[in-house]
Amino acid sequence: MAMKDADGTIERLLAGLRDAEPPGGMERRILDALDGMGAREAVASTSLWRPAIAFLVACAVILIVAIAVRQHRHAPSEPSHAMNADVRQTTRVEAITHKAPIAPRRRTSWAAARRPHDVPAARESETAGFPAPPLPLTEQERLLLRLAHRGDAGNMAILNPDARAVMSAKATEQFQQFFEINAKEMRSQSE
Amino acid sequence: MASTEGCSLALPFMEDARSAVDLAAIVDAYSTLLFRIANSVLRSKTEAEDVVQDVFLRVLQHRATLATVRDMRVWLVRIAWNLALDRKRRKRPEQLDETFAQSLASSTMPADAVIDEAQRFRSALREIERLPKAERHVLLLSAIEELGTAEIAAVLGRSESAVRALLSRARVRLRARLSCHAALD
Repeated sequence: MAMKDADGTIERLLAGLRDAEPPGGMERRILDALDGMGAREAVASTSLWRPAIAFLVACAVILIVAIAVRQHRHAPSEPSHAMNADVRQTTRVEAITHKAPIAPRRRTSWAAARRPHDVPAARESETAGFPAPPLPLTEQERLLLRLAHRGDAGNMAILNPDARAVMSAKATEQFQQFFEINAKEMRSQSE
Repeated sequence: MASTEGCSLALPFMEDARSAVDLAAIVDAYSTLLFRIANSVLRSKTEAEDVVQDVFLRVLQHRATLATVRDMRVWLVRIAWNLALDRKRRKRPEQLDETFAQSLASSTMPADAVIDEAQRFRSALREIERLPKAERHVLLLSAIEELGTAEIAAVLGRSESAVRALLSRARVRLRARLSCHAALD
């Protein structure tokens, strides 16, 4: 009897599980949720591209601006460079030959010159009438300067081609005179 | 979990890999079956509905590979079964047995017999929970009339003969335990 009851209970329980009906409108709710999820997925897939596109556009803009600024800076400054080189050469020769005291070199920072608010000042300094800041001296130039500062007239004269020519002519003349005198003495002695 | 191995049946709309998957048709065809499977494990209509929704979300996520699914029905049942088991691990089933047994009894019995019937159902549900896992799973899946032995075997990854043996053992064990309870009462 108990066994029959147990069987009956099991059957009724399993039948209850088997015949369970889903809540009304479940399919509609599921389809709505899936629609929402599909739309969100579509949005997510496009939103993944958006930052990448924005980044590329930003990079392109920065590159274009950098190229434009570079061209703008280089175009007017090229002729003045050659002119500045000439000016530098003359000032340097003058400084050496006239024993002019050497002005302390100014430090020019390119980074500072490139700052936007320094651009007009930099442009002014690059005009022909404005002396360009001196370039660093070469080793030979430094040696010449050291020589000039010692103030030895003999050494200084070597630097002057005219004076050097006069000196060498004098030395030649003295040499010839010396040998001429010696030759005359030897001749007189032999006679 | 959502394995695509196995099966003999193929839905006509799944033949072409590039054809659009008619999700509405799939929901219409399988939602009730999946609900019953999830409900048998979870004993809660709300949670069973959530599981069914999760199953179709998986379908949506794997829609590109749906053409490789040879038996949509078994594939969906397996997903629902595993999702329901995952959910069940996070809660204590006895919490819901009270109301579940009550609602089950009230749907089948006249009002005066509902209390006794609910009591018997509670005992039966408790004993089902105490069955060995393999037997319990076979018993619950066999309760769903639409599933044959071959499909249960495919869902659980066992042979058909093993399923039949497990089902027989489960029923015998459950009957014996319930008889014992009834005799004690």
